[in-house]
Parts: sequence; C-alpha cells; structure tokens
Amino acid sequence: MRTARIFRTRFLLLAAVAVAAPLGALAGTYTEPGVYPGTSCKYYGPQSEDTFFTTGGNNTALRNSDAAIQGVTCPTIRTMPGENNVRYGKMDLSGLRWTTTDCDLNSTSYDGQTKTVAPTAALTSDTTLVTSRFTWARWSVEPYASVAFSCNAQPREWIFRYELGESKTY
Amino acid sequence: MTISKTGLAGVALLATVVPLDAFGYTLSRVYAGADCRVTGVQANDTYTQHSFAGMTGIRNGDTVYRSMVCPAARFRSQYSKVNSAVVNVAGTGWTALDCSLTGTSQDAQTYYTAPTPTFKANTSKGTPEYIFGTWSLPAYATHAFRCAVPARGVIHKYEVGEYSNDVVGAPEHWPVTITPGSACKFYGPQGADESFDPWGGNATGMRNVLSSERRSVVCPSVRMYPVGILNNYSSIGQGAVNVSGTDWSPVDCNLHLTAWDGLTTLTAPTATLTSNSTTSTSQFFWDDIWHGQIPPYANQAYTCSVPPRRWIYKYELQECAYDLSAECQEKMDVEDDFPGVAQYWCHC
Repeated sequence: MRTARIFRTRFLLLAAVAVAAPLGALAGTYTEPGVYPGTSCKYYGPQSEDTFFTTGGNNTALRNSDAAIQGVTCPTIRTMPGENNVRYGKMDLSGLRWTTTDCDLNSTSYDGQTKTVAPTAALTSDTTLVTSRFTWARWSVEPYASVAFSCNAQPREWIFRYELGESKTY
Repeated sequence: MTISKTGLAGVALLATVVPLDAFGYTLSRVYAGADCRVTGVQANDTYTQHSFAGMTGIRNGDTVYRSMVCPAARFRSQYSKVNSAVVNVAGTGWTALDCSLTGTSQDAQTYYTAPTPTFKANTSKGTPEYIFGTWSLPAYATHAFRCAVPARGVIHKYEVGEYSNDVVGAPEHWPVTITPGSACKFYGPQGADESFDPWGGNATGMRNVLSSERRSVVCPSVRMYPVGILNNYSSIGQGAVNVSGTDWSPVDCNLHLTAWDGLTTLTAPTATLTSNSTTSTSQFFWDDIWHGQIPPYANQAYTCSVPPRRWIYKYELQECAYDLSAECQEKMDVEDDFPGVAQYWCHC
C-alpha cells in the first residue's frame, strides 16, 4: 500500500511537472505541436481548376488522383507567433517516389515583404509501409510571419498529415 | 515524509503557473492567408492564386473585387472576449471598410460584428493592415473575417488574440476548440464544388445551396494536444457538429482520426443527435470517446452528408491527454489516498 501511495504521489508530481513544463517552469524550451489532416491542404491555383484532389484515407487525407504532378499549399496556424522559432516541420505522404525538393516549408512576413523557404527537408522512406516523411529542422522565421507547407504532389499519392512544432525558450 | 515532500514539490510546481491564472493574457494565433477562400461555390473560383502569394497567402488574380472568407478557430472559446485581431494585406485599392470581423452565437440565432477596425494604409510599402480592438463575443460563439479583396490584392495573414486566463495544459481546463463551419470544404475536388457557399451565415457557416440534393463536406481540425501524458495515447473529451434544420440522421456526420503512419484508423461511434425545433437546429455530439486509444500525433477531421439548404454552423473538439475510461476512474477512486485524484487523470 505504501508503495502504491508513493507511486501515486510520484504520479501527481509528474502531473505537476507535465502541467508546469509547458510554461517552461522546469525546461528551457517548450515546444507546442499542431497536427493537421491532409484535407487541410488545397490546390495552389484557382479552385475551379482543381479536378483531381480528393478526400479519402479514413476521410482525413488528400489524394492527387491525377496522372500529373499537381501543386498544393497546406496552411498552418501559428501558435507562438511572437517567437521566431519553428522547432520542426513534418509531412507524411504515401509512396516512395518523392524527392527532397518536392515539398517546401514557406514563410511570409506579416507585411508580405519577406518570403523565405526553410532549408531542404530530410526525406525518409518506409519501404514496408510504402510511405515517406519530410522533416524540417529548426528554422528561424520572423515574429508574426505566416507559415505554410507546399508540395508538388506526386500522381496518385496521398498527403496524410502535416505538423508544425513551434518552440519558446525560457 | 516522502509523500509530503513530493506532494509539496508538486504543489510548488503548480504554484509557479498560478500567477498566470490570476491576470489573464492574450493568446495569439496567426493564420496563413491561404486559409481564406472565395465566397460562393468553389467551382466558380477562377481567379485565386496561392502560388503568387508565397504559398502562404491568397491573391485575387481577377480585375475586379472578389469577396473572401477567412475562418478562424477559437482556442479559448470558454471566454467571452477577443482582445485583438489583425488582417495584413497587400496591393492597391484597399479601403477602411473592406475587411470586417463577424461572429455567430453557438446556437446560430445571433450575429455579431466587431467594431470597425483601424485601417493603416502603409502606403509607402503597399502593405495595409486592419487592426481590430477588444471585442466582447459570447463564449462558444464562432468568428471569421470577411474581406472584399481588390483586383490583384493579397491577404497575407490574419490573426486573432483571444483573451485567456487559462493555464495551458492544466487538467481542469482542457479547452474546447471551436471552428466555424466555413472552414469545411466540399469532399471532392474543389472544381466540382457546385454546392457549398461560406459567405452567408455571417461568414461563419457553410451552406449546401442546392435545393434538392445532399452533398458531403470534410471539416478538418488542428490538434494542439496530440500526445497523451500516460503512455502517449490520448482521448477525446467531446466532439460536436452544429447544423441547421431538424431533418438529420445520426449517421450523417462522423468523426475520424488517423495515426501518423495511417496504420490505425478510428471512426467514432455514431453520434448522439439532438434537435431543437424552436431554433430549427441540431447537434451531433460525441462524449468521452477513445479512452487512451488515440495514437500520438494522429490527425482528425469530421465528415458530413449535408441535406439540401442546410448549414454547418460550427464544429468543435475537446482533446484530452488523459485516460477517460471508467476503469481509470474506478482504479483511482479505490486508491483513496488522494480523494479526487481521478478528476485529474480520468477526466478532461
């Protein structure tokens, strides 16, 4: 019983840490993720020209059903806009034929005067699952800049999800 | 003694976050302009260009004004106050009244409009901005921007600063994220969308304009708490979709989650559907689902088959990093060293 009490008390302590950590009470950096379904992406041109991006994959993914490459933009919501720190970006897709330059992570300053693109992502593939992942490392953006992913979507492939992690250093 | 010390440490740690609770603060979110969309059915959008706006914005490539809607979620919807809002645009021809911020009550019976923003032309750089001040908007109402975008004009970003005195991640304050229905989109290719218009309903709703046919939408959410605290798996405290009319079936709307690798797909049990004949509205509701079963970093979306002439007013999601199962509560309650501990570990 005593062991159980101690265990649960430590549990409570962990809970307190878990609560406090996001605010940086203990850690030097707090990272906040935002996870988006692929269906949040949209064709990068006039929507009337989109005859190929369909919803599917448990209704959370977006598929380029065309035989040609088509462009998409995948907007994000910045959760720590006052910071300049994008901690990471990730994009998960189907298929193995992607190249490192197929997807970008873009930023535009609040006034539109500065447009930047993050350094090329690392591209990893899972031959068992037949999936690919782009991962962007830490990247500095202007405070209150907007951020969106973009991809040259390969024919017949899916965009499953994307994720942006922002961080604040205390 | 060990218990007292560690318990004290826990209290001390909690105390470090309490001061924030005492004063309140502004929780800002910045949206890419690419989240905006034209009014009317998307099949009629022959002019917007994200590729000409750094992929983050939206540009009206037409030679005349075009109306656009920019839906914004509420992440601290329990409070009745918007502290600030900004829309940053580019191009010539913008005037002071071209952008507004509108809201709709949670029962969709009342429309609101924020006070007229301050318009800063910033003529030298050609980067006007609309700055909205403090606005009292009822709890759980939705909001969205609407702009008349001049020819070749760009919306780079929009931003909402919500009031909050909540502690981020505190177990008793898991927030409900409310997204306006205008963030939904036609299920198929947008060029085939002859049915959904985000403009009416104060720019916060999405309506099937067809007079006799159903059409499907997908309503994507952003997950802000995608990792559970216990073994990384998490739960959904509640989900809801609010719609117009009383002629819906419980199976018309569904809630989906997909693991990051696609290996786990979850579709929620059929929602509880309640209708209000007085307001002619209905709500799909999911309560305490997937107790500790959602894989980390899974993504989420709703789908609905929308009857003709019906609106989707809003959808909401309360994420929870804890195990909501009855087993969890029972276990915690049996071990009664800390009465009430179950409320932290087994509830949102």
